[in-house]
Amino acid sequence: MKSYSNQRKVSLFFRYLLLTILAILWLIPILWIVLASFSYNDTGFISTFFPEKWSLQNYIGIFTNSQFPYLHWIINTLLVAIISATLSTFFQISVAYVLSRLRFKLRKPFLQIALVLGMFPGFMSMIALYYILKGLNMLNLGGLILVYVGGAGLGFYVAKGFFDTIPRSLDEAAELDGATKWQVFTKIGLPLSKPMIVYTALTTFMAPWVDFIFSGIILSTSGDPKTYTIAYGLYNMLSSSKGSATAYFAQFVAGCVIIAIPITILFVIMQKFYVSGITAGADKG
Amino acid sequence: MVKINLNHIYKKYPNADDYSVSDFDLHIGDHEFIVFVGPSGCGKSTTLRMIAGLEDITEGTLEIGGKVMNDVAPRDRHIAMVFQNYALYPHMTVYDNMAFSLKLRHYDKAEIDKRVKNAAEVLGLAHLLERRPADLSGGQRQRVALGRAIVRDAPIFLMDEPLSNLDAKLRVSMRAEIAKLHQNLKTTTIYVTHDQTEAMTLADRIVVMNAGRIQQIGTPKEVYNKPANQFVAGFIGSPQMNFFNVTYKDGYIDDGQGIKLKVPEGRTKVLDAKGYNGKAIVMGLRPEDIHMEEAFLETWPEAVVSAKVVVSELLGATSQLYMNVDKTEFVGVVNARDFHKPGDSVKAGFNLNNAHFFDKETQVTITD
Repeated sequence: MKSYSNQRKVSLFFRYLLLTILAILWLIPILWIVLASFSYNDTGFISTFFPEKWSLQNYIGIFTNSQFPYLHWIINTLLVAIISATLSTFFQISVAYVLSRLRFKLRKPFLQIALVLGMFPGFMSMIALYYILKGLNMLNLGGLILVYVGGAGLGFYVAKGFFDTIPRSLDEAAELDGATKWQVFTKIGLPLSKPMIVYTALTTFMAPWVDFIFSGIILSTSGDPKTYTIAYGLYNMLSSSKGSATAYFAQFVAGCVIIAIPITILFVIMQKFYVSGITAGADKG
Repeated sequence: MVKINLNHIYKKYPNADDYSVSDFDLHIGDHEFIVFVGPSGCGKSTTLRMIAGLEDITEGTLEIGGKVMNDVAPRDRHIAMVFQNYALYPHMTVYDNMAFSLKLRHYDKAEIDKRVKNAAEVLGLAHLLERRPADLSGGQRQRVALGRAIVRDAPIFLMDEPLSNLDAKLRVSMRAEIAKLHQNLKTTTIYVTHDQTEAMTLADRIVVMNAGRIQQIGTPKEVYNKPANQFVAGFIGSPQMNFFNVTYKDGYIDDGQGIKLKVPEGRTKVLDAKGYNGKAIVMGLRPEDIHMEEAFLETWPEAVVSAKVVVSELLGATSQLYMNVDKTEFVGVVNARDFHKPGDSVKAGFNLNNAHFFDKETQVTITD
C-alpha cells in the first residue's frame, strides 16, 4: 500500500506536468511571434525560430510603410475603441441595471427575446448592416462605431447577474434617505459596480482591436487604407495583392506585436478589477 | 411629532389569489412605540413597507400627520427605517452612511457634521466613523443603521426585525438600547418582530397579526392577560399557553383523558350565561398557573391532577416540566425546588382562576 502522502505527491507531480505542457503550448506561439518580429530578413518568411540576426527593421518598416499607413490604423482603432467602449459600457450597464432593478410589463418577454437573439452570431446581420449603412452614407469609422455600440445593450446578462446580487434593501434604504431613482443608480448602484464597469469597459474596448468581419465589410468600400482599423489593415497587408504575403510578412508580425502592447498594459492595470468583476456575481451570495 | 392612521388597509400582490394584508385598521398616537408581532408571513413586514412607501397600498388610506400618503414617494414621507440586514452602503464610511440622507437634502456641512457626531456619541460609534461597514461587527453595524435613522431627525421610525441578525446576548443589550433611545427621542416608532419577548418589552401597544389580519391590539399587559382569541393566547408568552380540549358541564370541565376539574364559581357564571353548559370548549392555562407547592395542593385539592413527567428542564430559578395525563400533554413552570426527573409521578395543581376559555369553533375568548 502506498502511503497517502506519496499518493498526493505523485498526483501533484502529474498535475504540474500537465500544466507545464499546456503553458508551453500556449506560450510558444507568442514567443515565436515576438522573436520573429525582431528577426532580420529581406526574403519574406522567417525560417528559423530564433533570429539569426536581431534587428528593429520590421518595426521601423511598418511605421514608415507608405502603402500601409500603420499609424493611422492604430489611431483609428484607438478612437473607435475608446468611443465605442464608453458608449457601450453606458448602454450595457444601464440596460442591465434597469432589468435588474425596475419592474415593468415587458421585462420578462424582453429577457427571453434577448436570450434568443443572443444565440444568433452577430455577423448574420452583416449584409443588412451593409445596406443600411450604405443607405445612410455611413460606410466609415462612424458606421463602425454605430455597429459596435448598437448591439451593446444585448450583452447585459453578466452585468445584470452582478446587479442582482446587490441587495434591494440598499436601494430602498437610499430611497427612504431621500434619493431619487437616478440618485440611487449614481450614488449606490454605480459605485458598487466598479468591477463590473471595468469588466464591461475592457471587453468592449478590446472588441474593435480584434474584429475584422465588420471592419472589413464596412471599411473596405472606401478603398482608402488610411480609414482602416488595425485588424482589417493588417489582414489587408497580407492579402491585398499577390506576393504581398511574403513581402510584408515580417512587418505584419511586428504590427501584431505592437497591438498586443496597449491591450496587455490595460489588462495588467485593470487585472485586479477584472478578476473580481467576473467572479463577483458568483461569491457575493 | 405626528399621528399615523391606517384606515382599513388591504394589500394584494399582483398574481396573488389572496390578500396578504386584510382590513388593517390602526391609529397610532404621538410618541407611541408600536410593535407588530406575528409568525412569518403574517403580513407585518408588508404593512410596515406600505407605511414606508416601498409597497403600494391596494385599498384603504394611510394618513401621516393628517395627510393621505398613499401616493407620496418614500423620500417625501419623512420616515427613517432600520432594515433587518442593516442595508448599510458598503462603499461608504460610517460617517458617510449616516450623512448620506442629510447630503441628499442639502444640509450645510457644519450641520451635517454636528448631527452625525451627536448620533455617533449617543451610539458609541465616535471612534468608528472612518471605518467601512465590512470592518464592523454585527452589533456595530446595527448601531450605524440606528444612527442613520437618528440623524434624520425624522418624526417616524420604522424598524423591520432590526435585532434578528444578532446573537442572543447582543440582542438583549440592543433591545435595552432601543428602549432607551425611544425614551430620549420620543419618536413615533413602529417595530416589526416575530419575537414576542421583544414585543412585550418594547411596546407601548402590541399589534398581534396572523394570516394578514389583526388579531388584537393592546398593551403588553392586555394581550398577555386578556388575549382576544386562542391565537394571541398561544403566540404571546413562553413557554406557550397550554390548551385543553374539554367539555364543560355543570361547573366541571372534563377532557375525557383523566383531567376533570371544578371551575371556580366566578368563571362558571360567565360560561353558563353564554350558554356553554354541556358544550365542548377550549381551556387555556399558562405554564406559570400550574403549581406544585404543597400550600397550593393542600388549599385546592379539587384542582389537582396526577401527572407523569416526560421531559424536565432546570433553568436555575425555575424548572419547566413537560407532563402528561394519559394522552393530554402540558407544560408547567414551577419553582426549582419542585424539579422532577422524567418518569416521576407528580401532583400538579391547576389555578383555574387564571384560566382562559375559548369557543371551540371561533377560537374567540369567552368573556362577559
